[in-house]
Parts: sequence; structure tokens; C-alpha cells
Amino acid sequence: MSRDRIEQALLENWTRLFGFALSLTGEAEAARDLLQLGALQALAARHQPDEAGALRAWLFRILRNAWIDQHRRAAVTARGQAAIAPDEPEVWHYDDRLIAEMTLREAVERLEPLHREIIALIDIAGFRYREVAAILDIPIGTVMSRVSRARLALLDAIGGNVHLLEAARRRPS
Amino acid sequence: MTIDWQTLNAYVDGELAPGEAARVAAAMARQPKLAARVATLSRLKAVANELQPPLAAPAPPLPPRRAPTTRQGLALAAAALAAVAILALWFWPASAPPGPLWLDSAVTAHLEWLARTPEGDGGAPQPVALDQTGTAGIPDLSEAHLTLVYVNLVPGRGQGHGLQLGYRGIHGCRVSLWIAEATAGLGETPAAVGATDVAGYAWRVGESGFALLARGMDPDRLRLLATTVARMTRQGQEQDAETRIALRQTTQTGAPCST
Repeated sequence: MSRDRIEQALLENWTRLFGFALSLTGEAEAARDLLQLGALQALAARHQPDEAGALRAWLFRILRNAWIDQHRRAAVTARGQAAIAPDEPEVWHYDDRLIAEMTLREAVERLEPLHREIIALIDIAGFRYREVAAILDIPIGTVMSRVSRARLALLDAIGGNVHLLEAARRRPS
Repeated sequence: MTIDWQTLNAYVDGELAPGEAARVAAAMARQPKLAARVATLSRLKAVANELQPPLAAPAPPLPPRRAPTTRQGLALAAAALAAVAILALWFWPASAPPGPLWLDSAVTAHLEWLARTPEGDGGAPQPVALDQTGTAGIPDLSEAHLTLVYVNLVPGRGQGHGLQLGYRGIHGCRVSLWIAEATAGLGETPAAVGATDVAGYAWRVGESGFALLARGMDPDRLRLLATTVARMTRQGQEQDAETRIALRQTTQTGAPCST
């Protein structure tokens, strides 16, 4: 009955998986193709985790590995090294009222892929740190530092959105 | 007391040990600026959690299905049709008359797949490593030189729901196996069905309906393939020698696929 479990997990997580695929690829068509490929690989797997939470994380990991295989691990590593962000906010100037769905969505799309990936896993897909560590194959400590930097970048991106809006308002029509 | 940014994030994520979480909470009570940061992070997390993908997924999230009612070992139906059955409970009126929609959905899904570029479904056949022990449930047609390269959960209302499995041949031929809840009129023996440009066979196994569709495939080859796949869906177990031989025979029956 393992196939039942895999397919049920695919069905239950389909939209989240697609969102994660989008966060990886940044393109709808590529995300759809990646999702297809990940589903195929999951359905064809001989072994899968027994526990439901681990099974869900396993699906995301398959998707990510499929993406890495498509783009070669070297490129992913280079991408990760490029994503450097400060550890702490230098100046706290964020306005919570600016954090809304529209500004957040735009901000997520502007993040570095590495930041977008971890935000997608923790904040959007709702994984725990240990699950993300397993999906990304990194230590939990790295997850902690990565998500804190990603949120900082996200807040800055949201602020940037607002600055752009204000600049547009000031521009003469 | 200094609480660093990383710890604040872990606090919002509920990842701190109880003692450390209490330390952060106590610090927040004394430091409004710290509390403001936690509030910002909490709002960020809450809004992000509500985000849906900006674009439509290839298939919508499907509701949890009921326990499979198919017998043990039934081919892919055991894996796919219970979900379709649940959809039926949600959307299909009990008195819905059988109609051409069942086949229309299958044909439409096949044509949409054909319309995609070869690269769009993964290009060359994906090495999904199908084997008898690892993929009990999905018909393995590799003996017929057909490789599973495409899985498509097709949404829709009424009888439009279904699961499409796409197989690609070594000459580029594409064959869809459509699986959905059976509709009245489907018999246990594969019966020829067709539409413009697309030919196929449809049959039922219990409550599950199947259709094998292709465009440009030799009629004799298609009939033999459909008969063999129907047998596999009925048996739902490891391929026996007769099945493997029949699959191999399809490659020697009629002309190669013209699509």
C-alpha cells in the first residue's frame, strides 16, 4: 500500500509542492515540469519514510534533488555562496502594516533563491527546522542562521517595495 | 540581556527549548523594542503561511480520500481511484447520468499532452526505474518500449476528474492511460472508443474506469496493447510471462507509431 500513501501525500501537498517548485525555478512552466518529474520519481521510489511528516519532507526533498540534478549541484552551491546577508538588522525601521499578502509575495519573488527556498519551506510549507535540515541536507544550525538571514532580507525587500511605491507617488504624472 | 536575531527567529518558529523560550519571553516583557521585533516576525510568518502560489498548480489540492475499496493488488486503481472516488462524493451528483464527458476529459488530457513540446514533458523518457517490486500499482509497459514520463492529475467537475499516466515510446509515440471512476456503459472487456485523431479502448475494473489512448498508432498494435494493459489492471500484480510476451508482441505488431 506504499503507493497509496505516496499518492495521498502528493495530493495533499500538491499546491505546496508547486509553490516550492516555483520558489526553486522562478518560472511557472519550469515549476510544472519539475513537479511532474518529482511526482514521477516519488511514485517510482522503492522505499519511502513510514511516518507521515517524514513522508511529506521526503516529497519536498525529492523535488529539490530533481531541481539540483537538472541544474547541477555546482550551480546550486555557487548560488548558495552568493547569498550573503547580514546576521542582525542594522536599523530597525520596519512597519508591520506594510506586511501584507501583496507586498510579501512581491518581496519573496525578489529574494535570493537560497532565501526564497528556506522561506518557502519554513514559513509557507510549515516545516520544522529538523525537517528542513533533512530536506536540504544541512545542519539544523545552518537552517537557523539561514532562515534568520532570509527573513531579514524579506523585511528589507518589503521595505524596498514601499519605497518604490512612494517614489511612484511622488513622480509627476 | 541580549537576544540575538537568530534566537528571535527560532522563538517565533517555536524551535527553542522551553527554558530558552522563557528567557526570550522574559526579555520581551522588559524590552518593548524586542517585543516589537517578535511581533514583526510573527506577522511575517503568519502572512507567509497564508500565501498560495501566484499561479495555478497543474492540479488543485485534492481532498483526503476514503480508504481504498479496491481489492489488494489492483493495478494503479488502488493508488489513484480512491482519490477520484472522494472527488465523486464531493462533486458528482448521485444521479449523474453517464455521458461523453468521461471520454472527453481523457481525450482532452491526451491532446493537451501531445500539444506540449517533447521538452515539456521531460524530453527523452525519464529513467524512473520502474520495476515490478518498486512500482506495484503503475502498469510497467517497458516491455512494450513505453516509458512512463508524465503524470497528470486532471481536475474538473462531474465526470471530468481523472488521473493521466503518459507513456512515451522510443519513436516518440505517446500513449495515455486514463483512470477515473467508472461510468455506466463501460464494460469489463476493452471496447474501442475514439475521437478526432485519437483512438483508444476503454474498460472498467470494478468501480474504476480505464482508457488507453493514442494518436497515430497502428490499430492492431493499439488493440493488443489495450488488451494487455486491461489484463494488467485486472490482475494488478507482478507481470507474468504471458503479459511480458504480449507487451513485447506489441512492438512487432503493425507499423511503428506515426506520431
